[in-house]
Amino acid sequence: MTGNKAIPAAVSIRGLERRFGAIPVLRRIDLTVGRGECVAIFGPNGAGKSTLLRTLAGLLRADAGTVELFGLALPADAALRRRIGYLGHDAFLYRDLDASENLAYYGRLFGVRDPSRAAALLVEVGLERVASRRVGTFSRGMQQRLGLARALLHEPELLLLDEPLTGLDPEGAEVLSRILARLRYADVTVLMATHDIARALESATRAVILGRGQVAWDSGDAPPPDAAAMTVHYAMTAQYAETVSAR
Amino acid sequence: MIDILQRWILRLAPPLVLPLGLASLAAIFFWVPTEKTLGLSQRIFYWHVPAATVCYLAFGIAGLSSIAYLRTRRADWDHAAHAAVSVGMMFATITIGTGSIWAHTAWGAWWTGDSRLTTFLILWLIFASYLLLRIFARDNEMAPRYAAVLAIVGTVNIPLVIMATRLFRTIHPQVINNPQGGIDDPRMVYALLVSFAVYLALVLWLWALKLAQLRIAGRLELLEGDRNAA
Amino acid sequence: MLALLWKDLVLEARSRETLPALFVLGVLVLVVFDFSLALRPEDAGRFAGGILWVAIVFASVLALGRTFLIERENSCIEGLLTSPLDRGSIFLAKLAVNTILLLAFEALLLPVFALLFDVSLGANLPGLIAVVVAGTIGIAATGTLFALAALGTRAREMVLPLLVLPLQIPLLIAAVQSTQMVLGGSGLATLGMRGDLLIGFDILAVTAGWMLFEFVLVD
Repeated sequence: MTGNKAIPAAVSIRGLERRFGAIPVLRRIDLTVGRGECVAIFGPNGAGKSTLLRTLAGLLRADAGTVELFGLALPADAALRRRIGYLGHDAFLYRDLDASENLAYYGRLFGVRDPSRAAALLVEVGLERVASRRVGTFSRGMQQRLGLARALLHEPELLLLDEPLTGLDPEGAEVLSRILARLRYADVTVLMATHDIARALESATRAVILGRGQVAWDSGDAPPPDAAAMTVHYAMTAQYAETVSAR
Repeated sequence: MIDILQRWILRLAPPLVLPLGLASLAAIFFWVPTEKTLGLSQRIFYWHVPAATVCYLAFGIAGLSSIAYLRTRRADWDHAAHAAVSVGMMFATITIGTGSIWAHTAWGAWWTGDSRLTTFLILWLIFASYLLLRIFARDNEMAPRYAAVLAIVGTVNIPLVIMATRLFRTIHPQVINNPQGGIDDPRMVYALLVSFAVYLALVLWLWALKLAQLRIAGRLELLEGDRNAA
Repeated sequence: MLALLWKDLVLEARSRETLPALFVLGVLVLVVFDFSLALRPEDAGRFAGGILWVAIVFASVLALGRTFLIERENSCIEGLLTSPLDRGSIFLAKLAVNTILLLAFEALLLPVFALLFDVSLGANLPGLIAVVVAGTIGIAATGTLFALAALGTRAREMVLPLLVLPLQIPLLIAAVQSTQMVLGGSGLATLGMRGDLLIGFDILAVTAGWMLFEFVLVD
């Protein structure tokens, strides 16, 4: 967490709550993420990782609490949405269009002026050879990569990734690591929900464990532990989260 | 605010309804003179017209509550809208029913192209679809939002429906010419006012009851959700 | 922004099967009417307007769900939601696509209609076109607003007619009467309240859809 009070934090969440129907999914999340941090969010299924990211992306509205991105309160207006990139479980791709057309469309949607960005990103994710193929013919891993390209197209300052490693082959995972390294250099804030502890910790500057809709553990300012220690933490906090919510 | 409204209505309305209702019935059957052109069957008018008015009121409340719900996202407003539509539907049915009975006893036809009857039939359909939506979308947590949008569009549609039935009327012979008839006798006006009072008290009371039921059910659901998740 | 989204949707519409399905449905309804009513040629003229609009309304209500089903399958709606595009514009774009689709369908249906019921379309063709367009906008607007909501229910497409048809009744009345008059050769100026109702409905439906669409979208 950057100590500089003058610059607003990239993400500032206080008391975030959210139910689906009657079932509470997020119960009081308090989290502050500074610019340039790469936060890996772990947690068992149902802990609320996706819900948290979707709320930040503007797809869900909070039932209670405040969320501020770069000091601006959600719900986000158009200008703020342009600064956020999101890759969810679905890649948001149109099957009947080819890769370049998909990127061209999203480029126009997000106001990307430079036509060469799409081509450059296709190279970066390793899809330049299939640029003219219908996305419907892509494998899951390829779609994931294209989705990543789409999320980065407009050079967001905040990148939200929901389980980006699922479906990626080792080569794809390498691509992701390289991109995350590049982004860290460019001071882009990244929040990444994932189950792959080892891979995530290669790129993360901070680790957070979500349990039953709350932050059960946060590595905070300290560098995150290595994979082995992390796994232990994870197991312990799974039980911790049970007791927290029972209170 | 909903809470206060509900509490006051539940306190004030019940003691009023019975005496007013009896007074109204007495007035209609014993006090009011028989209308010249339509005869005895015209007496149904004293309960038909207030039913219609109160139905409009209920749907109006539904529309406003729905707007409030979309603005504030507070479940109470959604419950208020839901209750209002339920109650409104009841009175719409009464309006159509009494109108139909009146038409039959006065002119022998169960249905006419009368503008009021047709209007209420269309409104009945619109808000029936609201209730059906609430049933079909029960599992979807966005259901209250969809329902609110439907209620708003439905309510806003009301003037258009009235216009349309007037158009429609030009095709069908207008049988119920002048429901207000010859209101020469001031006693008729008083009887009508008493009926209005009864209906107003009744509709508010029923609304408050339904609202209370919905709110309790909602709170129960939340508690169950908390219990299941913990 | 709006134009761009629209361009994409038009592109999508081309690569799909909605138009043929619409057309076949429309013709089916016309044929069913033809056989079930067994109208003599002299009588057909009196009911022509009604028959035409019933066919349009039913075919459209069944097909309007489609355009959203595609979006939903790919969850592309969420892609739109995370973009800077404002919710009202999404509605207008969807409305435009649906309207164009319906108009294309009607252009194909009208000749069949004229043939089956021996109705001459030429008495006031521009007037007829104006009435049909106005009616279509109203149908498309109400359908677009609720299509997404209908898909979110258990009964899916079955619910859309339930939600939308009662609301469209005023439009239907105005459209049918206007069509009858225009087919008989009357000018648009003589439509009076019918024309007002048509236009009033359209304005209301589009405005309501534009303002309320975000509530059907955002969670």
